[in-house]
Amino acid sequence: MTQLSSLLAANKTASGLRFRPATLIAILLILIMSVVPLFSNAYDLTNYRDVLLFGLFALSLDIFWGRTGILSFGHATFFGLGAYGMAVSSIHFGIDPSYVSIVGLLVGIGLAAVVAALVGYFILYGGVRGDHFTIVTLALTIVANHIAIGWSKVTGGDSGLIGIPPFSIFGFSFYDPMASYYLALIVLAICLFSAIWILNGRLGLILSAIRDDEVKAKTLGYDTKLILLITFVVSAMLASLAGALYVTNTGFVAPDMIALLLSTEVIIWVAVGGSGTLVGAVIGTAIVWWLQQKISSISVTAWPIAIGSFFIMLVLFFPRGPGAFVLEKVKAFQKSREGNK
Amino acid sequence: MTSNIPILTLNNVSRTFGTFKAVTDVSETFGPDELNCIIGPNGAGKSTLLNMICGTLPVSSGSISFGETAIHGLSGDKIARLGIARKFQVPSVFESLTVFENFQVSAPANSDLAILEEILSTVNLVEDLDVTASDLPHGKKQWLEIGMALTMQPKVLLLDEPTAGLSADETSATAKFLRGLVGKVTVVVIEHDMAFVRELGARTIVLHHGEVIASGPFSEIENNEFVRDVYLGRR
Repeated sequence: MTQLSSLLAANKTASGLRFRPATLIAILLILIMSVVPLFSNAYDLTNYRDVLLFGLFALSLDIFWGRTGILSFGHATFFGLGAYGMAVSSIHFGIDPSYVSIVGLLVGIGLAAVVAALVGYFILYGGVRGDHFTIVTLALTIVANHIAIGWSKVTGGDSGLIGIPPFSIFGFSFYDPMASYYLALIVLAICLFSAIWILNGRLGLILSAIRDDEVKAKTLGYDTKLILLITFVVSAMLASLAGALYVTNTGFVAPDMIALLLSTEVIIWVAVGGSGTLVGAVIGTAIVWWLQQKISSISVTAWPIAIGSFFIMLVLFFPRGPGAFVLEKVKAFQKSREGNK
Repeated sequence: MTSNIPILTLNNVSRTFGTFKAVTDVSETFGPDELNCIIGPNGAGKSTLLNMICGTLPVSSGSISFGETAIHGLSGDKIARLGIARKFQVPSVFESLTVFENFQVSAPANSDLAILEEILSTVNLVEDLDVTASDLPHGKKQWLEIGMALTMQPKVLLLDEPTAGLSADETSATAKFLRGLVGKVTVVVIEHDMAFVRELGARTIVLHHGEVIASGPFSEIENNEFVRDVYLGRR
């Protein structure tokens, strides 16, 4: 019995703070990314910085999709709300430049939280799950895109808004590529490690349980709708954080930051890295970005064809991502070999 | 039934699906820490009744109380938190989690490890602690789900066909286990298997076409002419 106690105790701490391979990879990744500026020129650095922020965007989707198994096709809406929230509040209202970035950030994240809570409330409490959830959120992105184009007085319409100042806080401006790179990296690291820490704990288990069998989780006393809604809202807030920071780097916002293509791309980034792994979302973003550079340099038209074909393959052959697909095949192969022995 | 105040009271509970009456005017009381069994042929409304008690299905009319609290109309998670645990007919465990993780999800946060330990050995899953639930054989999944219900430390335990798909030995072990719960928790078991019900020797309620046609000790039920006819398909 005492033996069992110690086994149980070990197991309990292990599942809370287990150093899974993914955690180790995350630490390595952040360490590598923190020395990258030493070997890069300013132009490359601005590209890497954008990749980090897109990685944060992918992480936000993975928190919801990877753990609950429910695919949101509407995450560009939240990225875009962050972007437009930052742009509109820093251009239209003549706010003091010393704290305009903070106001913009709060407006962007606040907008995303409100929209996610409203939409999420109606669809999650209405029992919409699975493919239906994906379709409703897909429509959400289209609606948001139409608003961004149509409401030109505020959003600048098709041409968007230009002149968003670089992110600044307490008078310090992250104008320099190096500074903005490290800002992106620190924000990403904080979000990534918090997500890993929280989702490796009890909440992660409960979300996995809801994904496996929501009715059962409910009969165990969990308010599953509320848990899903909170996860969705937090995920949307992270997406908007990425969007808001992104436009302080580019200096402009355009309707393609709140469009269906971006929603599709972020799904691909997460899928390439393996959904549910969190750090994989960031790595997947980097891989796809790198491939895009390589393929586009051969032929500009080749990229949309490549990414489109990949998306179709994703849906048809490996809905859980290419990584999981290969792992499953390897496992099945091992099993069949064991069976033959 | 008993002189005790009932822990679970059903008052004229009915459920219709369109024009089909699945359960009609069921009024029953369940005393604290008693073992109860609900039997009846396929489609008699047993699972529907259980679904209404634990809030998976709303009642069409009538009322259900837990102690003095009316629980019909509450959501399933609230009913569960009051202390009503349920085991589904098809074993519902969280397939992608390990046995221990399943327990972690079902047990309240900061549960005493000693209690989990005791339950784990009660359901014979100590050695399968780190096995992913989807890899467990059917019988062990049934036990895992019963174990999960126990970790909630419920006041009422609802079991929907706990012996479905179990071997004769396992069935007999389940009966012994359930008899051991008398005096600890109110148990309501839905069953098909007459041999098992006989072994339980509990107070038994017979449902037929959604209505209670008999209730009482199993020995009485077994000799009830009407119940026999129903089971033999004569009525």
